[in-house]
Amino acid sequence: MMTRRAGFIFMAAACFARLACDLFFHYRSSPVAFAYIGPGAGFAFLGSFLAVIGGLALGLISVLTWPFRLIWRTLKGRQGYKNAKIRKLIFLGLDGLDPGLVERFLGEGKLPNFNRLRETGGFRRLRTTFPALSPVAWSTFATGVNPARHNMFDFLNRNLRTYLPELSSARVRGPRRILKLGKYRFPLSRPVVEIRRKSRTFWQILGEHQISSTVLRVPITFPPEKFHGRMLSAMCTPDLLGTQGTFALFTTVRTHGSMESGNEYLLAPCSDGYTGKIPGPQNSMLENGGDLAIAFRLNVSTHPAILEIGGERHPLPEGEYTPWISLRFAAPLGVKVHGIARFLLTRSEEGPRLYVTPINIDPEHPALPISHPTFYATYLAKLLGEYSTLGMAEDTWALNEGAIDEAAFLDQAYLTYQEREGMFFSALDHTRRGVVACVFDTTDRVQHMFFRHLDRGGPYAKTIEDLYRRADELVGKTLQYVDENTVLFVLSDHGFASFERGVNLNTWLRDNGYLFLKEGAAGEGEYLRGIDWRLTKAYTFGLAGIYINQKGRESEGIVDRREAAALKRELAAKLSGLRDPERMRIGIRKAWPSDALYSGPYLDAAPDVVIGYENGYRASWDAAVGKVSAEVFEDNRKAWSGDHCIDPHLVPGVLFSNRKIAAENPGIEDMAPTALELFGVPIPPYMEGRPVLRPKPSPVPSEVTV
Amino acid sequence: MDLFHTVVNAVLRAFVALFSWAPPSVGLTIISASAGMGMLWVFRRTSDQARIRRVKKKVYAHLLEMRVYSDEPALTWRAQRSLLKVNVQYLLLTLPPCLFLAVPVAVLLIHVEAFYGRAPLELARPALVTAAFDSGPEGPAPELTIPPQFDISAPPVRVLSEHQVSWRVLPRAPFSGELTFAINGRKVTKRVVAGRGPAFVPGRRVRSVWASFWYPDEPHISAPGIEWIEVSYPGAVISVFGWQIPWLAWFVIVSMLSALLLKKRFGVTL
Repeated sequence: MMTRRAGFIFMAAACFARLACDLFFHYRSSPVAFAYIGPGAGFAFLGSFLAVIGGLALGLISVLTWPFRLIWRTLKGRQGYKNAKIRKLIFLGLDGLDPGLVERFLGEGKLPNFNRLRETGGFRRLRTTFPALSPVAWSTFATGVNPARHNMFDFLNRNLRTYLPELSSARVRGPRRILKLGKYRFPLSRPVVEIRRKSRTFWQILGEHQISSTVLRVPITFPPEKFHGRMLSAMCTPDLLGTQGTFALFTTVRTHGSMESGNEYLLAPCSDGYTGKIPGPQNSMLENGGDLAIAFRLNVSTHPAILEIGGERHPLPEGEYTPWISLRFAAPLGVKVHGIARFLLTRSEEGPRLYVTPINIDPEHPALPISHPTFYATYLAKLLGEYSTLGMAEDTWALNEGAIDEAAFLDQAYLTYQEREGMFFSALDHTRRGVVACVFDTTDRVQHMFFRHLDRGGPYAKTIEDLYRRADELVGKTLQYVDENTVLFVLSDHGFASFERGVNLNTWLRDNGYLFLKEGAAGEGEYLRGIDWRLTKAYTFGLAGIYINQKGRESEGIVDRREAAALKRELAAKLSGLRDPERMRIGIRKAWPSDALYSGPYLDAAPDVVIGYENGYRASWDAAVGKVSAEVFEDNRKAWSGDHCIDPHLVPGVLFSNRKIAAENPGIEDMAPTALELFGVPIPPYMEGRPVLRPKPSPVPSEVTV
Repeated sequence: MDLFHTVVNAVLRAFVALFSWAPPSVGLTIISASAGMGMLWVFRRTSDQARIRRVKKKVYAHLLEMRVYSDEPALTWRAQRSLLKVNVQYLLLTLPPCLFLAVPVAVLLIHVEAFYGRAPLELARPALVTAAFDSGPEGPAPELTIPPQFDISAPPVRVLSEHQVSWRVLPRAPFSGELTFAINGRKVTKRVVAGRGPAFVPGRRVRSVWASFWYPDEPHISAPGIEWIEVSYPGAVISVFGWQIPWLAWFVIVSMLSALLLKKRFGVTL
């Protein structure tokens, strides 16, 4: 039987081979038997040919123009690498890596690569900024100046006219000119996207000297700046809805009330499963166009379940994230807005639950500028696959709100981590000289969400230890790219502490006669609604501190400038050492008037009193969104259980290097001047930091006293 | 094989008849577009689409890499090497569907050639009729019987080294019928077409069953001794918007365009 079958296969193969040979070699006697065998082959050969020709042309142009570029650089007086002391500088940022935990795990021998760095180079605690927040600290890292010179004090800034919050780092507005034709709206210009961080980054300064940098996911780089190098934007890059991350949860029975940074939608039953619609960005091409949406069908009768969306079918294994799925929102006149999202199917007693991550801007077809050059994001996506582009890619709110569980959050966080690793090592592979700076924020997010499990037993007791071990492996891999002409800095912007109790300073201000509510208002309105500005002298929102309702600055300000200076000191004095009566502990370690911490042209944008919370405390969730709650102190009941927005002296970052660190008390502002010095570029006089590898004592005192 | 060719031929004849009212380019355009769609379908089912997508992205990536790292000539050259490598990978990935498509597309093209690739013999212009034998035609020349619409304008010419005999014939009036050859007492026919306008113009008639794959317009010759018979028809061109182009070029253009336009609908990455 087998022999006959084998014979048949052999005969068939022989016939096919003969036909193929004839097809290719017999054309002399049959002119139509050309080797045209379909558009696939046609496109393949044509495409390959064009790609190779295009590549050769680009290569030739690059080589032929090289001498001219060299001459141009010389004529412009750009020094390039002539004065550089090194060839390559690597900044590996591990957001929120805590020196206390690092020292503990080092002591337990769990971080061999960090230990190697410490032994062969150096390790210091790294002073962070006031407040100890990532957007503030990384801005200081990039510019080498204090926040009053780069204008970043918190995630949110208040609008002095409306008292409403604004994203402090970037402003995105619609196009300035729009052509209205009937119900259609045609943009005649691009949307306005502005970065609000001021001062100049070290990569811009290096770029002016033709020293190139690759800057990957360093916070507060949206929109990306133009400079000599490559950049992928990070923190504060919005999702496709224009928010800082809005997830969607599709369920069969409504299980949640309102959710922070997410929405719950009901699945509609159909013959073999459910249908639903994913809401997308606003349809700005139509007057009152509402939101664009993409319909999907969830077939749960198969195993695994199948998600049909955008004409494609995707398997949905239960409890596993899908790869990034492309979502194309169709606007009128053939315009498409591209996004990507991951889906996670789980089951509960009520039925299936489909979690959809915030819709990230598709890096292959970015709807907003997320990289410099603009095609760099596309290049990375083509080379390494799709990746998250949202500023805060790990969906902490989904875990806070119970849309996903701890395991799903960790899966998501480490998927992001892997994407970042791919980019980072690709950049290192492609960098012979210059700077590579990359920030991994998974270290921050995981600690935020799992700090409550640290040393407490249970399945997630080792999660943070595992996180630090992974970071150690990353350092180990990075060391393979380090030679004698390379300087490596592994640093974090701040450390970590537990967040057990929230402090609502609006409530304290009300209780102490500085803040008044309008008659009938309970103070539960978000973003300072219900506050009587005619009587209110001070208020808080965000995480950093208190603002004075100053006359001539705030639209309804009542405190004049001279009085404001005294009020700041008064508040700082009263709040320093504020006790939590329930726990019999100090909640606020110290408070500082802003002018004691900062100096620079943007001082007025700073919180007037910066709060240094004690370990275990932080601004409460209600205070952060400008509410006035009943009690000053309250328990933090969210999964978000670790934080760093406390007294910065308590949460320094880490600084490891493969070179000896000369500075005894280095600060994050020292990194920018260090980079300039290593490449022999003069440090601008306005920069406040000092190179850390130069043996010179740091002029900054170890603790700020007033 | 004859039966297969007859069926394919009949289908194509019916199709061409359907569009006989229109210029030949219309029928050919529809055939080409349908072929493009058919090829897309086969391509999707016989290729590793996921890998093709990945490799194509890499091709774009390495092209972009030359711009991203334009300040580093060494990296530009590295990107060139990578580009060549992924191009080879891409071509290898397109090979299986190409092999699957080779036979059906060859069958289609060979059959379509009779409709659009050859023109009937022009009236009052001599044409050659050639018969090839498996050994030298040593005896008397085969006898050629022609229909009244034709004249034989010259006696047969033997080409001994090629084992061939050729006649020069002159069509006098439009005709579609058969020439008859008497060889060793057996009769063998060959279709011949003369006149104007598009028509089904069969090519060579062969004895070998295997060779009939390439010459499928008529059943293979069953008589021994004779290898093939051929009438030398002039080539035909297709008129598209006033442009005279070979039919195969138009077929390639239309099938590729249709594939390009419909690839998303078919979910195919080419």
